Amino acid sequence: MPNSNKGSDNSNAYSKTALQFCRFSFHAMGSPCDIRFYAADVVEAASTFKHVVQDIVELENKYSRYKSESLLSKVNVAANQGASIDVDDEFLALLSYANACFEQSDGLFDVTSGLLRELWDFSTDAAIEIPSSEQIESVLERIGWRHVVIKDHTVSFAKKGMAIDFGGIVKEYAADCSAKKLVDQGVQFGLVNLGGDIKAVGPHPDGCPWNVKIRDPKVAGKHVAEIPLYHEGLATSGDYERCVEIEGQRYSHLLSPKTGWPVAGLSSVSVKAPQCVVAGSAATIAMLKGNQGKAWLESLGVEYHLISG
Amino acid sequence: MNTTIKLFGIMLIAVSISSCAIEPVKPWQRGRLANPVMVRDANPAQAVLEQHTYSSKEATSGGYSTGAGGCGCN
Amino acid sequence: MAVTDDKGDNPIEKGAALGALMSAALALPGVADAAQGGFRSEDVKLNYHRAKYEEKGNRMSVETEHVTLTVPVGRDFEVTGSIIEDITSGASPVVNFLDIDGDPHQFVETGASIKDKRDIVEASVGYYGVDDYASFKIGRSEEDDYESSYGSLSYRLDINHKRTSISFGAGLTSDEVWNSYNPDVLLEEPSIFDRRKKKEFMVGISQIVNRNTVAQFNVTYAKSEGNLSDPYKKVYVVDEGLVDYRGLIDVAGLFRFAVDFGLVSFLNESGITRFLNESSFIDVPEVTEFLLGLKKDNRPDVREQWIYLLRFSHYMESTNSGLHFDYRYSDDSWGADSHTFDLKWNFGFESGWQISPGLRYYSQHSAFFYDVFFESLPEDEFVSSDYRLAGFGAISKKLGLSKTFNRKYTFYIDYERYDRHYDYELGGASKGSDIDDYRFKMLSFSVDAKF
Repeated sequence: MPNSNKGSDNSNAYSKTALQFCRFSFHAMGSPCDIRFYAADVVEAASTFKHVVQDIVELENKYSRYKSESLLSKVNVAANQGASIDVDDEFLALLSYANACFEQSDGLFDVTSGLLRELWDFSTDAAIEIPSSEQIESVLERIGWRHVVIKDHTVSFAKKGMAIDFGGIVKEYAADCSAKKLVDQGVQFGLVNLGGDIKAVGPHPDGCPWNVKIRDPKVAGKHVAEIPLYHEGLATSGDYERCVEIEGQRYSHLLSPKTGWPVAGLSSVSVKAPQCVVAGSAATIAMLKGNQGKAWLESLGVEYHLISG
Repeated sequence: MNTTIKLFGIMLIAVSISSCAIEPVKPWQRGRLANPVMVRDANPAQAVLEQHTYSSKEATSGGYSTGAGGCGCN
Repeated sequence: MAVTDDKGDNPIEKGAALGALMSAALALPGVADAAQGGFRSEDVKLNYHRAKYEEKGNRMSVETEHVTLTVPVGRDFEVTGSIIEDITSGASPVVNFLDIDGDPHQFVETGASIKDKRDIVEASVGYYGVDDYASFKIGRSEEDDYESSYGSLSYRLDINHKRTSISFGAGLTSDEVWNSYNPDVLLEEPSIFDRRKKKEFMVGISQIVNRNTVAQFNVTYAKSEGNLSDPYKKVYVVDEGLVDYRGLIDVAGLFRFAVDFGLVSFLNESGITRFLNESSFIDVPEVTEFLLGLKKDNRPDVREQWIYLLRFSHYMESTNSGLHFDYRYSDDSWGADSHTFDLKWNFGFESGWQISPGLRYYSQHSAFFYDVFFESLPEDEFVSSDYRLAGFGAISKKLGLSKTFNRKYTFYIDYERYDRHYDYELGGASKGSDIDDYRFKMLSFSVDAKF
């Protein structure tokens, strides 16, 4: 087993190759992020980092559902007015990726299901108010990937009141993009972490992998697993702190587009895959599959770590 | 000499057949080619054994890659 | 946590799920480039392989064990070491004698059962670059009567956005061969010691044709030099004997009788053979040549082969299978040209199962100096009755089964049935005989573990 933990604490120069270990922390996409890599020159590293962050900010501005100026918001608004708006290749590729997720999850991973969050508010500590079945029905009517019409370079909705939300895709994709940006700028050894969505560019200069620890959600400061990364992505879905308990049953904050209810079964899933975006959606799909999530991951043939509910 | 001419002939044919039918397959279109069933011999030890067995029974051996070598089975 | 409820899952789509997600992910502009490249595996891999080979009628059987360990080293290197041990028992044909009608019969000295051990030790280093791969291998094989050292270099370069790969290879094998002279065996030659060398050069091109198909074309040139004859084999040359026994004596029948009734084993075991072989008054090979016309297997000491390989691998989505087709042609300066058609079809199933049926057809022309027996010695004196240089065809049916558990362990079972027939040769029959026909079965078991 390769181990030799060389995490962020090993910030000294890597004397053998005269590379400096550099680490930059920042906040983006609603999460604490950090980028670490080995560089020959610290000043150059700062400029490399700046370019990476610029791209991340650009992606955030383009795909954020919170920013009314984002392309995504514009698409949603236009589509709801019965109009359609031209999107670029990247947007189309993300939609095509969303389609793959929808197909592979038998409809559980649906980028139009974000509307359900209007009904379930997990942000407060107060007891969850359970929406009525009529409320749920009315939202479910406006959900459905098959109602999204993609024609040439335009997107429109077959139903009113819908919205696309790239949650579970864009942040992971941004981690992959950042890794690529690092490679393009000559970085060979590094790791991108965008709020837990991780992509390694290459191991430490001595060939040791980045050991990513998975926290024990039940005991603070304890780790349940350590996953070595060389070039792969790692993403986690589920958040123990945001779990809710309804009548003694624990639910995650992920909402099923089929029932309109939060899903039960798993509280956290981490997946390792060649790309962070694949890891992220696989983890989300497993969560959405609840008790069948483990079997699904098994058949997928990826490395994973799972914490049951 | 004759064989060298033949060799170039075959190579020329192979290249020309392939070049007119080749599609520029993009990296993301290679999912199928990466399927495990597309690895002919998932178990190299078995492939080594098979080739070794054939080479001890037949006049031709090799041609798949070099340096299989060491068959003392003439 | 036990997960038993599997309802509602669509099992057919699952096998391809990762592939579908990956190909959609690779279409994303920020992902494509970074995700390319066959990176070296980070796992330590251990493989154990065991097989049993059996010829019909218990003529010869081989048991083999093979252990391979692969370890990643540094960032880009991989080191592999492997050990193979074979144990062969049984006997192989020595010469073809004629009966009273002049029909040939194999003489297999089953009275002297052989038990040969072969040990191979091999090591290789591979380098995984961004667009290339290089490897270096050395190995050594030892038997009672054979020592072989070999080394090879190979290099693969990926070009054209990894749609095309070009490979080069060079290999050298240096053998020392002698016969493990056993004075207790009738018709054995006194010790000989000799060397042979084989050089191989290979050029290959592999091309992604479309999203379902990969094609490969290899050309290999091999040149063998040195003593390429078989020290155990003899040739029956009618004119070289004292008389032409046809119509007079059933020589083949006499020898078969001697074997079947234990005369040969009696001679061998009682020490009479040893006495004769070691006696200074009598030279057994000379006597048998004078009396019976038995000549040593004698082959040209240079052999050149041009081997062409064309391979297609095609993915079929409807059955989640990969069909692999090989055609190999060998152009041989000894005249033993051959065609090989090899078909392997891998079917992938849910939860790590794979089933691989296979069919192989091999056909060769006889070598120019081969015959079942000879009326007279050719001018160049090259003679061999080795069935491996005869004209023949062979059909192999294979079935492989494998299952991967937890992505860490894979078990393989492989079965093969090989049928050699003189009249299976493509386009009629060159020199050869059905007396050399045989069948073998091979059963293998193998396990792979990743750490």
